[in-house]
Amino acid sequence: MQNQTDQVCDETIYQQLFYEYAPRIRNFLYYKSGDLQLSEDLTQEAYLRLWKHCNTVSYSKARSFLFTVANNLFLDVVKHKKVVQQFQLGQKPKEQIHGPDTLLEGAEMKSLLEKALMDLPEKQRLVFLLNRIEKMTYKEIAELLDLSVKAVEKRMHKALVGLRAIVAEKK
Amino acid sequence: MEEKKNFKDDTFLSRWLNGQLSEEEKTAFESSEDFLQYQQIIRMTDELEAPPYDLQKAYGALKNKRSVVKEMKQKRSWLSYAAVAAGVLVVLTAFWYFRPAPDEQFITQTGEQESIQLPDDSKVQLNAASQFSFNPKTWKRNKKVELDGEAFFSVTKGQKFVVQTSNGQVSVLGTEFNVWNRGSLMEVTCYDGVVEISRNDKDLTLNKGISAHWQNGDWQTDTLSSIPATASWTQGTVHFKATPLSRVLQELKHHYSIKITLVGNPQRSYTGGFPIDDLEAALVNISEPMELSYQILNGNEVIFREQ
Repeated sequence: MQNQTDQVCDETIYQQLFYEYAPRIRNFLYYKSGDLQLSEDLTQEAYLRLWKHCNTVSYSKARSFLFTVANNLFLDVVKHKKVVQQFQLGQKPKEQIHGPDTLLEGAEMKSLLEKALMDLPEKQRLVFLLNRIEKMTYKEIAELLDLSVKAVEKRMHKALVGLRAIVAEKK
Repeated sequence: MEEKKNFKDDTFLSRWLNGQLSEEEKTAFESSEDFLQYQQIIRMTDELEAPPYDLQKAYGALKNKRSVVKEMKQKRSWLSYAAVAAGVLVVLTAFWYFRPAPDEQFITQTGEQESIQLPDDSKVQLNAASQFSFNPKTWKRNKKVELDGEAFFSVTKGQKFVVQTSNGQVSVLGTEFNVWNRGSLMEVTCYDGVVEISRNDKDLTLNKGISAHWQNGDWQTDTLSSIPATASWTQGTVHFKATPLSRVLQELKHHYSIKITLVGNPQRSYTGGFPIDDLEAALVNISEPMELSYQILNGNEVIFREQ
């Protein structure tokens, strides 16, 4: 019988896996590191490893293989050098929100927020951005990071408390 | 800690974001001093998005890198090959000595089909790039066949008949059905009678005109709009309904000896069909509705591009 793991070695399936998961892995690494170049390099490296092991990694395990490898690669890098964090997130085109005078306006607030995100502990930042930008539920994040939902909720709460404190202080 | 002072527990803001606060908690929070700032932070982050990512370019770079890695890997010494060869020889010899009673096996290559008649007069039409086997010695008490790939079955009424695939099992008592099993995917269509399918302890009974495929950990069923006498591929055309392009191209490769490169999104959905004996027509049938252009290089390398 043909082995069902053969599939990942197939170019079209491999390509589909890339289109499906590469953006999520790259963003996952970016939220951790704040280093876009590094995130894209490590994503590529994770896929190279998947190709190397395509005979032993089954299609259904490919996703968790990719995330695990990407995460390990990242930990390796962090061990060797302090990652420079500089968040530059995009902004969806949308009309400016005008709040009361005590609140900051769009562009200023965005750069302040990016700085605040940078100051946040990595674990809190990751959970916060996976939830707010990737629109993942607490449960999905818990599964991805192998945490309890409660632990995710705690990090989320802390992240928001931390962000507000940093924003208030910088302002 | 400031947070301890202001919130009654350490998941309060998570519950606020999820709309899980009680009315009381919510009213109190909304009138608090910091509420507007929290609200603004959330509003602001919800407008942010990850920096753009050029997937097409990234995939191209990945492919280049992959071929470089491959070339380096090929520079192995002849000794390592000799070691592998010796190992293989030992294993093969062991297999030869301890081989079980042989199964009757049928293998089709790309573009081939084969008709098989079983000892009880049941008929099997084996599609391209597929494997099929059964044991003639135990056939009388155990009507079990193994399949990887695709086959259309016309089973004579009588004893229970089982098709085993890498993904699941199909059991019938005299009927007509199609089994498609490739990689981790599986799809069964019942053309006549009743078919029982099972995978990971999930059982399902399919009546005439019902098709089921495995997705998200369970069987998903689909009703055929009309019930043809047989699967379309046995008549020379492969049909698809809202199928990811990657699977369609995969299927195309089973019928034609070609290499395929897709520059574009492999997850777009395709509805249509292609003939199995006319490559040009097949390429047109796939590319036109998907608004792809195609190009044939070196006689057997097909490149599809999004226009």
